[in-house]
Amino acid sequence: MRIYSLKKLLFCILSVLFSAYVASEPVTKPSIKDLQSRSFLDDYYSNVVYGYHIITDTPRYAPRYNGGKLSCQNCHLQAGTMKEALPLNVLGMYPKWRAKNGKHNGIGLRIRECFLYSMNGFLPPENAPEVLAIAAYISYLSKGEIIGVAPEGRGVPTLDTTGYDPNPSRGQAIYKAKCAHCHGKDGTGDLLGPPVAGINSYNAGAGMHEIQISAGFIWANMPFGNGKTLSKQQALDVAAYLHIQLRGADPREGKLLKLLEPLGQWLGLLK
Amino acid sequence: MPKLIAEMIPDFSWLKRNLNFRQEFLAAFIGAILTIPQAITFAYLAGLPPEYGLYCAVYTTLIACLFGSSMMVGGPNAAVSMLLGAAVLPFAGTGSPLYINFVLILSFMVGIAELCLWLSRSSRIFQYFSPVLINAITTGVGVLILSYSLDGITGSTGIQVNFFYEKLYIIISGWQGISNYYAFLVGFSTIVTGLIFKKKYPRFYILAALLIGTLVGLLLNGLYGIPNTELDLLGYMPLKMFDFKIIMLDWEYISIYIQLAVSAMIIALIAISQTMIIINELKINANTPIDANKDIYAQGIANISSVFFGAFCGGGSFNRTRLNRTFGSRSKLATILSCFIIIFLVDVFSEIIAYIPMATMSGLLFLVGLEMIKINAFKQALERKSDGISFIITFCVVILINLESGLLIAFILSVLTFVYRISEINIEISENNIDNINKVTIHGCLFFGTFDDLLQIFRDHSECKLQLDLRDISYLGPGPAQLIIQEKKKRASSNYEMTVLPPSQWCAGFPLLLK
Repeated sequence: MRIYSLKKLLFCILSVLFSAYVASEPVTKPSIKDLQSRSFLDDYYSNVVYGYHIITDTPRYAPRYNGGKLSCQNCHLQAGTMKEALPLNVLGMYPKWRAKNGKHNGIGLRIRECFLYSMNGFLPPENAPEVLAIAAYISYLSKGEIIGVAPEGRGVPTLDTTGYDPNPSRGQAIYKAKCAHCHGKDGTGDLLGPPVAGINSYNAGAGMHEIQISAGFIWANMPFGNGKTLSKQQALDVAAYLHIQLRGADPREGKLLKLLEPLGQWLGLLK
Repeated sequence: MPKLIAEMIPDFSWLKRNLNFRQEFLAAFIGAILTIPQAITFAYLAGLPPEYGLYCAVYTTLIACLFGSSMMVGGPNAAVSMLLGAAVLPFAGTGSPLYINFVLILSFMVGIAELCLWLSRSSRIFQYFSPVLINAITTGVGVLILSYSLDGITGSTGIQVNFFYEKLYIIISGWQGISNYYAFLVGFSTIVTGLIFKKKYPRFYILAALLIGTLVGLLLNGLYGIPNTELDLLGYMPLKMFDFKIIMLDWEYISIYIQLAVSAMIIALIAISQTMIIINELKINANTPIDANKDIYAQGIANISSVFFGAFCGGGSFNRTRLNRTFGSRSKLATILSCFIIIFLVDVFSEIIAYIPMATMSGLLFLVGLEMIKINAFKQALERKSDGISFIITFCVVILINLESGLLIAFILSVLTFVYRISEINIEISENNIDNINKVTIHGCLFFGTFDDLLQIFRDHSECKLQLDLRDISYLGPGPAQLIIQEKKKRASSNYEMTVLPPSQWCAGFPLLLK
């Protein structure tokens, strides 16, 4: 009996040491540039590269389910590799229960809902090649992360209360001063910046529509390249201003108002 | 050689005829409206995004029509699309850029294979396919298409199976887990509408089914919201109609290209055999001479050149050809106009087309599959035993094994049944009991295949004198000639002698042996 448990103990210690060794090794994976220069890509890496292309230029590479002019990279900055800017190395956190749809979400459903809400498009089917490619890219980014543990810099920082309510009119002034030259006067985008309002942007069901999340994103990353230069109150104000802009309806409540969007565009009511 | 060049040049003789422009335009317009859902459905069948079906419906049809000699309309074809999907599926994920690349390369190879068939003047070979067996293959393809459409109608993600009855088992045993009830409602309403309209207004049943299915989908999405119904919609089709697409060839994939080349030959055979059937139908009521070889050339050149516009390969399209005729088109103008009208319509209605549920597309596919199952042809084939058996064998091979083996079996059975039928000899017997002489007249060919029949005749009439009348036979082989000579010698020594009326001078083979 003792010898049996001694063997077991030895085995446990050795396996712990081995996994500690493995975990401490730096994770090697080929860079995207390296993958793009290869002449032959197997099934996994060709999907990784396709997913990378979709994330960086969604209207061009995934036009079928994409509704507006946003690319994934416009919010998941630097193709999902920047900390505190919604990085995409989060495959270890899925599948998980989400309050948004009350279901146990796998990474596939999470990506599909991103197309429906944040891209103001259609819900792709489970086996859509775009969804599989993005899932491959996310798994590529998440290589080396520990399952179940949130990676460092995940999502956006949560701003603590400033003591004052978010003020949209102050937000409008800040927007005109600091954001309009990239994102356009009415928020419908410009050469430099993606649309943050209107039907070509995310719709009212997206995570970015919630003031908490967009304030954290704006405070940490905006103006682009000068993150954390705004005060937290200023970020909340701008987020509140963007929240009240006209954008696509929430698909959960909009009930096909999306059909009227082209009509509204034609009449000049929506941009 | 000049004949080859004459076949290569497009034929503009239809311009000189009196054309009723109003009739042609009407046929073109209605043809375009009815072709758009069919093209998208066949692209879905091939596993491609929907806009590729429209490229095929426009470019392949246009080029095949310009270069062809008959009023046959090329374009997306059900059996060819299914074979394309099945050929490329082992090598790439459905719908991915690599898959599309492989499909286009395969289409190019199919075009080259068809051009090789044209150069070898093989339109004669396709005349040896018995139409009964082509119907059997079409029925088998119809059943396979039905099974393919089932996963879209139940709203489940694509179920990959090796045998079609596996899918039925999965759906029936596990329908609670895999079905999307909203999608099933949409698909069901599409099919029911199609079936109802097929009885009342058979010309527009596809369009009616599409409209009703889309309306039901919109209703469900409007009542319950897209996140709840999870109905797959068609989505925006990024139509790049006038873009020249460059196909990437890679040395790394060379082994895949070789396997695709094998599939290309088989797809070319099936496409051309369907083309031949349509041409034979057209020859019956054509007012201009139809050159079958020129049409094969047209198909080949259309498949090769339209690949550069993103179109996968097509074959002859029964529906569109019949449609043109039904709506009174008398020349190729209707087809050419309809290609341009398709481009215009899809551009205008792209926002609305995005809302078509994929369950409706699957429902349309189900209706197309139902139409391909030819029960009447089966009943007709059962009237002759050999036809019935070959029909059943071909049908089972197509369903249970695969389409390529079905084609091979069909060809072999066609030739065998033809030989069997030709080798039947007709025997007239007149008995004369007074003189005990039986006169046996033989019509047909006496060759090695009919040896047994000849022996049977001699055995049946061994108790009487025999007069063998061979004046009406068309061929006499050496074996039966030897048999007749031996039998005559044998009978001469006994009481039952045999006299032979020799064959006429038109008899082929070895009639002189009987002198």
